[in-house]
Amino acid sequence: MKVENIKRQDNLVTFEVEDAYSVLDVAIDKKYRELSKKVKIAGFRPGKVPKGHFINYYGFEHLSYEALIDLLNDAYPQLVDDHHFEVIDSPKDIQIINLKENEPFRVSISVEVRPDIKIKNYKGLRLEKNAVKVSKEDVQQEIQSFLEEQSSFEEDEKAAIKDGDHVTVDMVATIDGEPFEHWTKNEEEIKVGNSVIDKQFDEALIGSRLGDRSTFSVSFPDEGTYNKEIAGKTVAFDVTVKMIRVKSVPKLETDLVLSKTAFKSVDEYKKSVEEKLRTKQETTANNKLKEDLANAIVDLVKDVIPEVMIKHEVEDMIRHMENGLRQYNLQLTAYLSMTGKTLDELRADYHDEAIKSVKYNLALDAIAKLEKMVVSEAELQAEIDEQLKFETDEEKKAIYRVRMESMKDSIKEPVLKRKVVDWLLENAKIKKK
Amino acid sequence: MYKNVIIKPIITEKSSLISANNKYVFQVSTNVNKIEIRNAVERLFNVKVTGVNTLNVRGKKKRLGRFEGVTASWKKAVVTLKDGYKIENFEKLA
Repeated sequence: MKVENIKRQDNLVTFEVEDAYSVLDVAIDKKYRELSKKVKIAGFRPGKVPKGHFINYYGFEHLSYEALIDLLNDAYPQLVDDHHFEVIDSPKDIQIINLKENEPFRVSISVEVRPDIKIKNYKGLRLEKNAVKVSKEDVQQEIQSFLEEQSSFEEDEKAAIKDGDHVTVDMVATIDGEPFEHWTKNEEEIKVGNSVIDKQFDEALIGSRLGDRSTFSVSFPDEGTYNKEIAGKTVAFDVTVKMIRVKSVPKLETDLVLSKTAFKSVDEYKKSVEEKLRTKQETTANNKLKEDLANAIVDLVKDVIPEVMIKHEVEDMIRHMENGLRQYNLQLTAYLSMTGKTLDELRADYHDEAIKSVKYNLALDAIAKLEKMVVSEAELQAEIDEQLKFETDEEKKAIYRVRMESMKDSIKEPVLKRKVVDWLLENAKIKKK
Repeated sequence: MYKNVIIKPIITEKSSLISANNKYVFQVSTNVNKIEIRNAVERLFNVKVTGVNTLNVRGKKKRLGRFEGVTASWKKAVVTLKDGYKIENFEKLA
Protein backbone atom coordinates (compact mmCIF):
# COMPACT_ATOMS: atom_id res chain seq x y z
CA MET A 1 0.00 0.00 0.00
CA LYS A 2 1.16 3.45 -0.90
CA VAL A 3 1.03 6.13 1.77
CA GLU A 4 0.93 9.71 0.57
CA ASN A 5 0.18 13.25 1.67
CA ILE A 6 1.23 12.83 5.26
CA LYS A 7 0.18 15.92 7.17
CA ARG A 8 0.59 16.63 10.81
CA GLN A 9 -1.38 19.15 12.79
CA ASP A 10 -0.50 19.20 16.47
CA ASN A 11 -0.94 15.58 17.47
CA LEU A 12 -3.20 14.60 14.61
CA VAL A 13 -1.61 12.88 11.63
CA THR A 14 -3.58 12.56 8.42
CA PHE A 15 -2.41 10.40 5.52
CA GLU A 16 -3.81 8.89 2.36
CA VAL A 17 -3.57 5.24 1.44
CA GLU A 18 -3.80 3.99 -2.13
CA ASP A 19 -3.60 0.60 -3.76
CA ALA A 20 -4.66 -1.26 -6.89
CA TYR A 21 -8.18 -2.65 -7.33
CA SER A 22 -6.85 -6.19 -7.54
CA VAL A 23 -5.89 -6.00 -3.87
CA LEU A 24 -9.38 -4.87 -2.95
CA ASP A 25 -10.91 -7.52 -5.18
CA VAL A 26 -9.23 -10.26 -3.19
CA ALA A 27 -10.61 -8.75 -0.02
CA ILE A 28 -14.08 -8.47 -1.55
CA ASP A 29 -13.92 -12.10 -2.55
CA LYS A 30 -12.98 -13.09 0.97
CA LYS A 31 -15.75 -10.97 2.45
CA TYR A 32 -18.29 -12.41 -0.01
CA ARG A 33 -17.34 -15.94 1.01
CA GLU A 34 -17.66 -15.01 4.66
CA LEU A 35 -20.96 -13.16 4.35
CA SER A 36 -22.68 -15.47 1.88
CA LYS A 37 -22.74 -18.10 4.60
CA LYS A 38 -24.59 -15.80 6.95
CA VAL A 39 -26.94 -13.91 4.68
CA LYS A 40 -30.19 -15.67 3.80
CA ILE A 41 -31.18 -15.13 0.17
CA ALA A 42 -34.41 -16.62 -1.20
CA GLY A 43 -33.75 -19.50 -3.63
CA PHE A 44 -30.29 -20.33 -2.27
CA ARG A 45 -28.93 -22.38 0.56
CA PRO A 46 -26.49 -20.41 2.75
CA GLY A 47 -23.10 -20.15 1.09
CA LYS A 48 -24.39 -21.30 -2.30
CA VAL A 49 -25.27 -17.95 -3.83
CA PRO A 50 -23.11 -16.92 -6.81
CA LYS A 51 -20.88 -13.89 -6.30
CA GLY A 52 -22.57 -11.78 -8.98
CA HIS A 53 -25.99 -12.32 -7.49
CA PHE A 54 -24.71 -11.73 -4.00
CA ILE A 55 -23.12 -8.41 -4.94
CA ASN A 56 -26.34 -7.47 -6.67
CA TYR A 57 -28.30 -8.30 -3.57
CA TYR A 58 -25.92 -6.87 -0.94
CA GLY A 59 -24.78 -3.82 -2.85
CA PHE A 60 -21.29 -3.29 -4.22
CA GLU A 61 -20.66 -0.18 -2.11
CA HIS A 62 -21.65 -1.92 1.04
CA LEU A 63 -19.58 -5.01 0.36
CA SER A 64 -16.53 -3.15 -0.88
CA TYR A 65 -16.61 -0.88 2.16
CA GLU A 66 -16.64 -3.82 4.52
CA ALA A 67 -13.87 -5.49 2.55
CA LEU A 68 -11.85 -2.28 2.67
CA ILE A 69 -12.18 -2.02 6.45
CA ASP A 70 -10.95 -5.62 6.75
CA LEU A 71 -8.09 -4.85 4.44
CA LEU A 72 -7.08 -1.77 6.41
CA ASN A 73 -7.38 -3.62 9.70
CA ASP A 74 -4.86 -6.14 8.47
CA ALA A 75 -2.49 -3.67 6.89
CA TYR A 76 -2.72 -0.87 9.43
CA PRO A 77 -0.25 -2.08 12.06
CA GLN A 78 2.41 -2.59 9.38
CA LEU A 79 1.65 0.80 7.84
CA VAL A 80 2.01 2.54 11.18
CA ASP A 81 5.24 0.70 11.87
CA ASP A 82 6.74 1.44 8.48
CA HIS A 83 6.12 5.14 8.75
CA HIS A 84 7.05 5.42 12.44
CA PHE A 85 3.78 6.92 13.53
CA GLU A 86 3.65 6.64 17.29
CA VAL A 87 -0.10 6.22 17.43
CA ILE A 88 -1.83 6.46 20.76
CA ASP A 89 -5.37 5.67 19.76
CA SER A 90 -7.39 3.88 17.15
CA PRO A 91 -7.88 5.95 13.97
CA LYS A 92 -10.17 8.91 14.54
CA ASP A 93 -11.51 9.31 11.07
CA ILE A 94 -11.49 7.21 7.91
CA GLN A 95 -12.64 8.98 4.78
CA ILE A 96 -13.13 7.29 1.46
CA ILE A 97 -11.79 9.27 -1.44
CA ASN A 98 -12.28 6.68 -4.14
CA LEU A 99 -13.92 3.28 -3.95
CA LYS A 100 -15.20 2.16 -7.33
CA GLU A 101 -15.15 -1.07 -9.26
CA ASN A 102 -11.96 -1.57 -11.28
CA GLU A 103 -10.34 1.61 -10.03
CA PRO A 104 -7.51 1.97 -7.49
CA PHE A 105 -9.03 2.73 -4.13
CA ARG A 106 -7.94 5.66 -2.00
CA VAL A 107 -8.66 6.38 1.66
CA SER A 108 -7.67 9.14 4.02
CA ILE A 109 -6.97 8.18 7.63
CA SER A 110 -6.40 10.47 10.56
CA VAL A 111 -5.04 9.29 13.84
CA GLU A 112 -3.71 10.81 17.04
CA VAL A 113 0.00 10.35 17.67
CA ARG A 114 2.26 10.82 20.64
CA PRO A 115 2.98 14.48 21.17
CA ASP A 116 6.46 15.91 20.68
CA ILE A 117 7.37 17.28 24.04
CA LYS A 118 9.48 20.39 24.14
CA ILE A 119 11.61 20.30 27.19
CA LYS A 120 14.61 22.34 28.29
CA ASN A 121 16.52 23.36 31.42
CA TYR A 122 16.44 19.80 32.63
CA LYS A 123 20.16 19.81 33.25
CA GLY A 124 21.26 21.01 36.67
CA LEU A 125 17.94 20.73 38.45
CA ARG A 126 18.09 21.96 42.02
CA LEU A 127 17.11 19.21 44.40
CA GLU A 128 17.46 18.50 48.10
CA LYS A 129 18.36 15.20 49.66
CA ASN A 130 17.69 14.24 53.25
CA ALA A 131 20.89 13.40 55.10
CA VAL A 132 21.17 9.92 56.51
CA LYS A 133 21.59 10.01 60.28
CA VAL A 134 21.14 7.04 62.57
CA SER A 135 21.12 8.09 66.22
CA LYS A 136 21.78 5.88 69.24
CA GLU A 137 18.13 6.27 70.27
CA ASP A 138 16.97 4.89 66.93
CA VAL A 139 19.14 1.82 67.41
CA GLN A 140 17.96 1.42 71.00
CA GLN A 141 14.33 1.67 69.90
CA GLU A 142 14.83 -0.93 67.20
CA ILE A 143 16.47 -3.29 69.67
CA GLN A 144 13.71 -2.69 72.23
CA SER A 145 11.01 -3.66 69.74
CA PHE A 146 12.98 -6.81 68.92
CA LEU A 147 13.14 -7.64 72.64
CA GLU A 148 9.42 -7.00 73.04
CA GLU A 149 8.79 -9.58 70.36
CA GLN A 150 10.86 -12.10 72.34
CA SER A 151 9.01 -11.44 75.61
CA SER A 152 7.47 -14.38 77.45
CA PHE A 153 4.38 -14.62 79.67
CA GLU A 154 4.41 -16.43 82.97
CA GLU A 155 1.56 -17.10 85.30
CA ASP A 156 1.85 -15.09 88.52
CA GLU A 157 -0.70 -15.47 91.30
CA LYS A 158 0.35 -12.46 93.31
CA ALA A 159 1.02 -9.79 90.71
CA ALA A 160 -1.17 -6.78 90.00
CA ILE A 161 -2.19 -6.35 86.36
CA LYS A 162 -0.06 -3.94 84.39
CA ASP A 163 0.15 -2.82 80.81
CA GLY A 164 1.22 -5.58 78.41
CA ASP A 165 0.10 -8.51 80.58
CA HIS A 166 -2.16 -11.27 79.36
CA VAL A 167 -5.15 -11.91 81.62
CA THR A 168 -7.98 -14.41 81.56
CA VAL A 169 -11.31 -13.11 82.81
CA ASP A 170 -14.98 -13.99 83.13
CA MET A 171 -17.01 -11.02 81.97
CA VAL A 172 -20.66 -9.99 81.87
CA ALA A 173 -21.68 -6.99 79.79
CA THR A 174 -25.03 -5.18 79.95
CA ILE A 175 -26.45 -2.23 78.04
CA ASP A 176 -29.18 -0.32 79.94
CA GLY A 177 -29.75 -3.42 82.10
CA GLU A 178 -30.13 -5.72 79.07
CA PRO A 179 -27.46 -8.42 78.74
CA PHE A 180 -25.10 -7.88 75.84
CA GLU A 181 -24.16 -11.31 74.49
CA HIS A 182 -21.23 -10.22 72.39
CA TRP A 183 -19.09 -9.38 75.41
CA THR A 184 -20.52 -11.80 77.93
CA LYS A 185 -17.89 -14.53 78.00
CA ASN A 186 -16.13 -16.98 80.29
CA GLU A 187 -12.38 -17.58 80.25
CA GLU A 188 -11.76 -14.76 77.84
CA GLU A 189 -8.12 -13.92 77.26
CA ILE A 190 -7.32 -10.26 77.03
CA LYS A 191 -4.07 -8.59 76.12
CA VAL A 192 -4.01 -5.54 78.34
CA GLY A 193 -2.98 -2.41 76.43
CA ASN A 194 -4.17 -3.64 73.01
CA SER A 195 -7.51 -1.82 73.48
CA VAL A 196 -9.42 -4.63 71.83
CA ILE A 197 -12.65 -3.65 73.62
CA ASP A 198 -11.71 -0.12 74.51
CA LYS A 199 -8.87 1.80 76.11
CA GLN A 200 -11.09 2.55 79.14
CA PHE A 201 -11.69 -1.16 79.63
CA ASP A 202 -7.97 -1.94 79.72
CA GLU A 203 -7.31 0.95 82.10
CA ALA A 204 -10.01 -0.28 84.48
CA LEU A 205 -8.29 -3.66 84.71
CA ILE A 206 -4.85 -2.30 85.54
CA GLY A 207 -4.02 -2.79 89.20
CA SER A 208 -6.48 -5.66 89.79
CA ARG A 209 -5.24 -8.91 91.27
CA LEU A 210 -6.15 -12.57 90.89
CA GLY A 211 -9.77 -13.20 91.96
CA ASP A 212 -10.68 -9.50 92.01
CA ARG A 213 -14.12 -8.64 90.76
CA SER A 214 -14.65 -5.15 89.40
CA THR A 215 -17.67 -3.41 87.96
CA PHE A 216 -17.32 -0.36 85.76
CA SER A 217 -18.92 1.10 82.68
CA VAL A 218 -17.51 2.27 79.37
CA SER A 219 -19.17 4.92 77.17
CA PHE A 220 -18.74 4.58 73.42
CA PRO A 221 -18.86 7.52 71.02
CA ASP A 222 -21.68 7.92 68.48
CA GLU A 223 -19.36 7.25 65.62
CA GLY A 224 -16.25 5.23 64.91
CA THR A 225 -17.18 2.02 66.72
CA TYR A 226 -16.76 -1.12 64.65
CA ASN A 227 -19.91 -2.59 66.19
CA LYS A 228 -23.03 -0.56 65.43
CA GLU A 229 -24.92 -1.96 68.48
CA ILE A 230 -22.72 -0.09 70.95
CA ALA A 231 -22.50 3.26 69.15
CA GLY A 232 -23.43 6.04 71.58
CA LYS A 233 -24.21 3.55 74.37
CA THR A 234 -22.78 3.01 77.82
CA VAL A 235 -21.85 -0.60 78.46
CA ALA A 236 -21.65 -1.85 82.05
CA PHE A 237 -19.05 -4.55 82.71
CA ASP A 238 -18.73 -7.02 85.57
CA VAL A 239 -15.28 -8.60 85.31
CA THR A 240 -13.68 -11.31 87.46
CA VAL A 241 -9.97 -11.95 87.01
CA LYS A 242 -9.21 -15.67 86.69
CA MET A 243 -5.57 -15.74 85.70
CA ILE A 244 -2.76 -13.28 85.20
CA ARG A 245 0.23 -13.97 82.98
CA VAL A 246 2.91 -11.38 83.52
CA LYS A 247 4.93 -10.17 80.60
CA SER A 248 8.68 -10.33 80.98
CA VAL A 249 10.95 -8.75 78.43
CA PRO A 250 14.34 -10.46 78.12
CA LYS A 251 17.59 -8.51 78.33
CA LEU A 252 19.90 -8.21 75.37
CA GLU A 253 22.47 -10.87 76.14
CA THR A 254 24.80 -13.03 74.15
CA ASP A 255 22.63 -16.12 74.68
CA LEU A 256 19.59 -14.41 73.25
CA VAL A 257 21.51 -13.07 70.29
CA LEU A 258 22.95 -16.51 69.60
CA SER A 259 19.61 -18.29 69.75
CA LYS A 260 17.36 -15.77 68.01
CA THR A 261 19.58 -14.07 65.45
CA ALA A 262 22.30 -15.02 63.01
CA PHE A 263 24.91 -12.97 64.85
CA LYS A 264 27.66 -14.10 67.17
CA SER A 265 27.82 -11.27 69.69
CA VAL A 266 25.76 -8.40 71.07
CA ASP A 267 28.04 -5.84 69.43
CA GLU A 268 27.78 -7.49 66.10
CA TYR A 269 23.99 -7.48 66.37
CA LYS A 270 23.94 -3.81 67.36
CA LYS A 271 26.12 -2.95 64.41
CA SER A 272 23.83 -4.82 62.03
CA VAL A 273 20.79 -2.99 63.41
CA GLU A 274 22.53 0.30 62.80
CA GLU A 275 23.45 -0.78 59.30
CA LYS A 276 19.88 -1.90 58.60
CA LEU A 277 18.49 1.44 59.74
CA ARG A 278 21.06 3.27 57.66
CA THR A 279 20.16 1.45 54.43
CA LYS A 280 16.49 1.97 55.22
CA GLN A 281 17.00 5.69 55.61
CA GLU A 282 19.20 5.78 52.54
CA THR A 283 16.46 4.13 50.46
CA THR A 284 13.83 6.47 51.81
CA ALA A 285 16.03 9.47 51.06
CA ASN A 286 16.71 8.19 47.54
CA ASN A 287 13.08 7.52 46.88
CA LYS A 288 12.19 10.98 48.09
CA LEU A 289 14.88 12.42 45.85
CA LYS A 290 13.55 10.55 42.84
CA GLU A 291 10.04 11.68 43.61
CA ASP A 292 11.22 15.29 43.84
CA LEU A 293 13.04 14.84 40.55
CA ALA A 294 9.89 13.47 38.94
CA ASN A 295 7.88 16.45 40.18
CA ALA A 296 10.54 18.86 38.92
CA ILE A 297 10.55 17.18 35.50
CA VAL A 298 6.76 17.18 35.27
CA ASP A 299 6.78 20.90 36.03
CA LEU A 300 9.04 21.46 33.03
CA VAL A 301 6.48 19.99 30.63
CA LYS A 302 4.20 22.73 29.41
CA ASP A 303 2.68 20.95 26.42
CA VAL A 304 -0.94 19.92 26.36
CA ILE A 305 -1.34 16.19 26.78
CA PRO A 306 -3.91 14.46 24.55
CA GLU A 307 -6.95 13.35 26.51
CA VAL A 308 -6.67 9.81 25.10
CA MET A 309 -3.29 9.28 26.67
CA ILE A 310 -4.61 10.35 30.04
CA LYS A 311 -7.58 8.08 29.62
CA HIS A 312 -5.38 5.12 28.78
CA GLU A 313 -3.14 5.86 31.72
CA VAL A 314 -6.12 6.01 34.07
CA GLU A 315 -7.33 2.68 32.75
CA ASP A 316 -3.84 1.26 33.25
CA MET A 317 -3.82 2.49 36.82
CA ILE A 318 -7.21 0.99 37.54
CA ARG A 319 -6.15 -2.29 35.98
CA HIS A 320 -3.04 -2.22 38.13
CA MET A 321 -5.16 -1.61 41.19
CA GLU A 322 -7.51 -4.40 40.22
CA ASN A 323 -4.55 -6.78 40.06
CA GLY A 324 -3.47 -5.59 43.48
CA LEU A 325 -6.93 -6.16 44.88
CA ARG A 326 -7.05 -9.64 43.40
CA GLN A 327 -4.16 -10.61 45.66
CA TYR A 328 -6.49 -9.93 48.57
CA ASN A 329 -9.23 -11.91 46.82
CA LEU A 330 -11.17 -8.74 46.21
CA GLN A 331 -13.05 -7.77 43.06
CA LEU A 332 -13.02 -4.20 41.87
CA THR A 333 -16.81 -3.99 42.14
CA ALA A 334 -16.64 -5.19 45.74
CA TYR A 335 -13.98 -2.62 46.50
CA LEU A 336 -16.07 0.13 44.94
CA SER A 337 -19.12 -0.76 46.97
CA MET A 338 -16.95 -0.87 50.09
CA THR A 339 -15.60 2.61 49.51
CA GLY A 340 -18.93 3.86 48.22
CA LYS A 341 -17.44 5.16 45.00
CA THR A 342 -18.49 4.71 41.42
CA LEU A 343 -16.01 3.72 38.74
CA ASP A 344 -16.23 7.19 37.25
CA GLU A 345 -15.37 8.77 40.56
CA LEU A 346 -12.37 6.49 40.83
CA ARG A 347 -11.32 7.55 37.34
CA ALA A 348 -11.66 11.19 38.35
CA ASP A 349 -9.50 10.53 41.40
CA TYR A 350 -6.73 9.11 39.25
CA HIS A 351 -6.97 11.82 36.62
CA ASP A 352 -4.36 14.22 38.02
CA GLU A 353 -1.96 11.47 38.88
CA ALA A 354 -2.36 10.08 35.37
CA ILE A 355 -1.50 13.45 33.80
CA LYS A 356 1.62 13.56 35.93
CA SER A 357 2.65 10.06 34.99
CA VAL A 358 2.07 10.65 31.28
CA LYS A 359 4.03 13.90 31.38
CA TYR A 360 6.86 12.24 33.27
CA ASN A 361 7.16 9.38 30.81
CA LEU A 362 6.97 11.68 27.81
CA ALA A 363 9.59 13.97 29.32
CA LEU A 364 11.97 11.09 30.00
CA ASP A 365 11.58 9.92 26.41
CA ALA A 366 12.16 13.42 25.11
CA ILE A 367 15.29 13.82 27.22
CA ALA A 368 16.60 10.45 26.10
CA LYS A 369 16.13 11.57 22.52
CA LEU A 370 17.74 14.98 23.08
CA GLU A 371 20.70 13.47 24.87
CA LYS A 372 20.90 10.63 22.35
CA MET A 373 20.73 7.97 25.01
CA VAL A 374 20.12 4.38 23.93
CA VAL A 375 20.11 1.04 25.63
CA SER A 376 23.01 -1.04 24.38
CA GLU A 377 22.80 -4.77 23.78
CA ALA A 378 25.04 -5.38 26.79
CA GLU A 379 22.79 -3.36 29.05
CA LEU A 380 19.78 -5.22 27.77
CA GLN A 381 21.46 -8.56 28.46
CA ALA A 382 22.40 -7.37 31.92
CA GLU A 383 18.77 -6.49 32.59
CA ILE A 384 17.59 -9.88 31.41
CA ASP A 385 20.19 -11.57 33.62
CA GLU A 386 19.02 -9.46 36.53
CA GLN A 387 15.41 -10.46 36.02
CA LEU A 388 16.31 -14.13 35.73
CA LYS A 389 18.55 -14.03 38.77
CA PHE A 390 16.13 -15.87 41.03
CA GLU A 391 15.18 -18.56 38.56
CA THR A 392 17.15 -21.65 39.52
CA ASP A 393 15.74 -24.11 37.03
CA GLU A 394 18.10 -23.95 34.05
CA GLU A 395 15.51 -25.22 31.61
CA LYS A 396 12.94 -22.61 32.58
CA LYS A 397 15.64 -19.99 32.53
CA ALA A 398 16.41 -20.76 28.92
CA ILE A 399 12.72 -20.59 27.99
CA TYR A 400 12.27 -17.25 29.75
CA ARG A 401 15.39 -15.94 28.08
CA VAL A 402 14.08 -16.71 24.62
CA ARG A 403 10.73 -15.18 25.50
CA MET A 404 12.40 -12.04 26.79
CA GLU A 405 14.59 -11.76 23.72
CA SER A 406 11.43 -11.58 21.67
CA MET A 407 10.07 -8.62 23.60
CA LYS A 408 13.27 -6.64 23.76
CA ASP A 409 11.53 -3.34 23.20
CA SER A 410 9.32 -3.58 26.23
CA ILE A 411 12.33 -4.50 28.36
CA LYS A 412 14.42 -1.71 26.94
CA GLU A 413 11.90 0.93 27.92
CA PRO A 414 12.25 0.78 31.70
CA VAL A 415 16.02 0.37 31.37
CA LEU A 416 16.22 3.51 29.28
CA LYS A 417 14.06 5.39 31.77
CA ARG A 418 16.26 4.32 34.62
CA LYS A 419 19.27 5.45 32.66
CA VAL A 420 17.74 8.87 32.05
CA VAL A 421 16.82 9.26 35.71
CA ASP A 422 20.36 8.35 36.76
CA TRP A 423 21.75 10.80 34.24
CA LEU A 424 19.45 13.54 35.50
CA LEU A 425 20.50 12.89 39.07
CA GLU A 426 24.17 12.96 38.10
CA ASN A 427 23.66 16.30 36.43
CA ALA A 428 21.43 17.78 39.12
CA LYS A 429 22.63 20.13 41.82
CA ILE A 430 21.80 18.18 44.92
CA LYS A 431 21.97 19.92 48.25
CA LYS A 432 22.17 17.85 51.41
CA LYS A 433 19.70 18.80 54.07
CA MET B 1 -47.01 -6.48 -24.76
CA TYR B 2 -44.05 -8.86 -24.26
CA LYS B 3 -43.91 -7.78 -20.69
CA ASN B 4 -47.27 -9.44 -20.14
CA VAL B 5 -45.76 -12.72 -21.31
CA ILE B 6 -42.67 -12.77 -19.18
CA ILE B 7 -43.31 -11.87 -15.53
CA LYS B 8 -39.90 -12.17 -13.88
CA PRO B 9 -36.67 -14.16 -14.00
CA ILE B 10 -36.32 -16.99 -11.49
CA ILE B 11 -33.01 -16.78 -9.71
CA THR B 12 -32.24 -19.77 -7.54
CA GLU B 13 -29.40 -22.14 -6.97
CA LYS B 14 -30.67 -24.43 -9.67
CA SER B 15 -31.27 -21.67 -12.19
CA SER B 16 -27.76 -20.28 -11.64
CA LEU B 17 -26.43 -23.77 -12.15
CA ILE B 18 -28.06 -24.32 -15.53
CA SER B 19 -27.25 -20.80 -16.71
CA ALA B 20 -23.84 -22.30 -17.46
CA ASN B 21 -25.58 -24.26 -20.24
CA ASN B 22 -27.05 -21.04 -21.60
CA LYS B 23 -30.45 -21.76 -20.12
CA TYR B 24 -32.49 -19.09 -18.40
CA VAL B 25 -35.54 -19.58 -16.20
CA PHE B 26 -38.55 -17.26 -16.13
CA GLN B 27 -41.95 -17.08 -14.56
CA VAL B 28 -44.36 -16.57 -17.42
CA SER B 29 -48.03 -15.89 -17.77
CA THR B 30 -50.09 -19.10 -17.38
CA ASN B 31 -51.94 -18.72 -20.68
CA VAL B 32 -49.01 -18.29 -23.04
CA ASN B 33 -47.49 -20.99 -25.22
CA LYS B 34 -43.86 -21.80 -26.05
CA ILE B 35 -43.93 -19.85 -29.29
CA GLU B 36 -45.10 -16.70 -27.57
CA ILE B 37 -42.39 -17.13 -24.92
CA ARG B 38 -39.72 -17.57 -27.63
CA ASN B 39 -40.85 -14.45 -29.40
CA ALA B 40 -40.99 -12.45 -26.21
CA VAL B 41 -37.47 -13.45 -25.09
CA GLU B 42 -35.99 -12.85 -28.54
CA ARG B 43 -37.49 -9.35 -28.74
CA LEU B 44 -36.92 -8.30 -25.14
CA PHE B 45 -33.29 -9.38 -24.85
CA ASN B 46 -32.26 -9.32 -28.46
CA VAL B 47 -31.13 -12.96 -28.55
CA LYS B 48 -31.77 -16.16 -30.53
CA VAL B 49 -33.72 -18.93 -28.77
CA THR B 50 -33.21 -22.60 -29.67
CA GLY B 51 -35.67 -24.17 -27.24
CA VAL B 52 -38.34 -23.52 -24.66
CA ASN B 53 -39.45 -25.98 -21.99
CA THR B 54 -42.41 -25.13 -19.83
CA LEU B 55 -44.07 -26.57 -16.78
CA ASN B 56 -46.97 -25.59 -14.57
CA VAL B 57 -46.17 -25.12 -10.92
CA ARG B 58 -49.21 -25.96 -8.87
CA GLY B 59 -50.09 -23.71 -5.96
CA LYS B 60 -49.44 -25.08 -2.49
CA LYS B 61 -52.17 -25.73 0.03
CA LYS B 62 -51.86 -23.28 2.90
CA ARG B 63 -53.84 -23.15 6.08
CA LEU B 64 -54.40 -20.32 8.47
CA GLY B 65 -56.24 -21.75 11.41
CA ARG B 66 -59.44 -23.23 10.15
CA PHE B 67 -59.28 -21.50 6.80
CA GLU B 68 -57.72 -23.49 4.03
CA GLY B 69 -56.51 -21.92 0.81
CA VAL B 70 -54.03 -22.34 -2.00
CA THR B 71 -51.26 -20.13 -3.29
CA ALA B 72 -51.50 -19.20 -6.93
CA SER B 73 -50.39 -21.65 -9.59
CA TRP B 74 -47.91 -20.32 -12.14
CA LYS B 75 -46.02 -21.31 -15.21
CA LYS B 76 -42.25 -21.73 -15.38
CA ALA B 77 -40.30 -21.58 -18.63
CA VAL B 78 -36.71 -22.72 -19.22
CA VAL B 79 -35.40 -20.93 -22.29
CA THR B 80 -32.30 -22.23 -24.10
CA LEU B 81 -30.36 -19.68 -26.10
CA LYS B 82 -28.34 -20.25 -29.24
CA ASP B 83 -24.58 -20.56 -28.59
CA GLY B 84 -22.92 -17.18 -28.52
CA TYR B 85 -25.91 -15.31 -27.12
CA LYS B 86 -26.49 -14.41 -23.53
CA ILE B 87 -28.77 -12.25 -21.42
CA GLU B 88 -26.72 -9.47 -19.81
CA ASN B 89 -27.31 -8.75 -16.14
CA PHE B 90 -29.86 -11.50 -15.82
CA GLU B 91 -29.51 -11.41 -12.05
CA LYS B 92 -30.23 -7.73 -11.88
CA LEU B 93 -33.59 -8.13 -13.55
CA ALA B 94 -35.22 -9.62 -10.48
